[in-house]
Amino acid sequence: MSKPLLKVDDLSLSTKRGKEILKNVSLDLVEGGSLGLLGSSGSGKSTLALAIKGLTRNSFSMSGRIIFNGTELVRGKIKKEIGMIFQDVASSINPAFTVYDQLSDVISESKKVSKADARALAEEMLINFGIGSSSRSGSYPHQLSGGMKQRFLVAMGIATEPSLLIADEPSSSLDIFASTDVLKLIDEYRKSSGCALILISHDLSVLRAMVSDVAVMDEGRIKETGSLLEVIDHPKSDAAKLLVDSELTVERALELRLSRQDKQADKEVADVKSK
Amino acid sequence: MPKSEKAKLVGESQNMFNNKIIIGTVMILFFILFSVFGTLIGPSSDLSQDYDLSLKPPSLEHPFGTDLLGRDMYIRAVQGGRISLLVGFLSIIVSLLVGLPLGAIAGYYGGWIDTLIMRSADIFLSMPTILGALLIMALIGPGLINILIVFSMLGWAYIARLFRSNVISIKNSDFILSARGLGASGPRIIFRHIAPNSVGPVLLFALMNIGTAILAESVLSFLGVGLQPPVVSWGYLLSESVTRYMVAPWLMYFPGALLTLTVIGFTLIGEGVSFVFDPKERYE
Repeated sequence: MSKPLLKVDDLSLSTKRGKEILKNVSLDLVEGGSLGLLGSSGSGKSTLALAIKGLTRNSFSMSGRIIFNGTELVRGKIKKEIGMIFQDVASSINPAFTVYDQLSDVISESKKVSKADARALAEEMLINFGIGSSSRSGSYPHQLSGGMKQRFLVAMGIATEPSLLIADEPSSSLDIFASTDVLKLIDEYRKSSGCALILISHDLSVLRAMVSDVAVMDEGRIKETGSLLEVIDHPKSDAAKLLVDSELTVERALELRLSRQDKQADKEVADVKSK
Repeated sequence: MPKSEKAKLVGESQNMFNNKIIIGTVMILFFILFSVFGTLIGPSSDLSQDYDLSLKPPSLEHPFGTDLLGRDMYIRAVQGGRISLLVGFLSIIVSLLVGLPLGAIAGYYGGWIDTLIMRSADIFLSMPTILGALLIMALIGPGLINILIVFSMLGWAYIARLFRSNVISIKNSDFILSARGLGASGPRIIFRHIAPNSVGPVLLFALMNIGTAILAESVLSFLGVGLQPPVVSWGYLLSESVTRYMVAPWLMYFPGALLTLTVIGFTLIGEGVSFVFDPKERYE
């Protein structure tokens, strides 16, 4: 049986004015495990991720415990073993420095290697991630495409070689090709390092490809947890049912298309009759 | 790293020194050299009074003309430049040295320390610069050092307020959160991540204000609480020319032109610096 890696125990978070953002959230993740956080916008997925990473605002009041690798996390104390890929690509990269400088900085800080070694590692990584191969490693973030920026964020997220990677909607703003590239990079890192993954998404197809378990969130609470297939096939909570029903599957797309064609045919018949 | 990429990196760092900075720096260097060595290269270094030469227009012997007392205006402009540039530079340097760290601390850490720094700044911001300077100068007395003290006292508050607002607008960006997530300390986040993205407009403001400081010194001198004769500045020379410019317009032209060109030089450097701090702007 795998060793437990992360335990979130009865975590609640509220603003200064008393608005509850997370309510009694509990979840477990084992070493090398994968968990999808599924929920609509504003359900508290990103806030939970930030809380696990230790980045919640100081003004928020917090209760409950987060235990990582057997130690309780102290708020504000950052665990470098937890890597994070942020949601907003546009604002997640420092615009003032080249991607090459930023990545080598992170590598030199986290691996405690010389600047020259860090630069060599950064260069290799950028080439592997398809950013450095076309004279782009010396580029500023605004010179990269959306897909490249997201791939760069993945590189930054795994540069510290975390044992838990949190990816907050890493592919939501990308086209299908770029999205597949990014998910593939995360998957490859998981396979090579054996790190655990928390993947935040409201896209069931992404979760299907990446995780084995899922927790459904709504209004700051975890409404349902279980294996992904179990939750998709037999959703118990209203939130899970709503999310599963809203998935645009092939069958559903076909249904929509047929009903549209029916309406078009009806209209044509009506036109002919009126003439 | 492939050669083409290295060349690109080198090319980018060379781009930092763009044309505006070069032109502005050349102009300011010229005025600094003019103020320091002007008496050595001028046709005369004599500042004695000679009523026979009173209000003579520019000539080869007196390139900037003479004043009412027959003194060479070129020499006076050179001497005035030393004081004007000194007042401009030092007051802004001290304002930046005080204002930038205080603005960064207030903006990044927030809370009581922000309240303390900003309410202190508000005391100075609540006074119009000239009135505030008049008030303080009346208390501490006239003189060059006191002018520098007053301008620094009044200047840091603007810098701190402006930098604080820039820091606040950037500190909640995801890349700052990401830097915190990677374990970066507060000072490192401020210096490495926030400052390069927010200091450009503040430097532009500060450099453009060097001209304002030079002009404000002339107002104080004109009102009798600034420099005391025989110390002169360009502003002082300008204020002196006010009553005589109809009969001797050169008294106004030369100090006015020197002052204007100095302000333009600093403005160009300021624009160039803010350009350097904005990679997007630099590449489009």
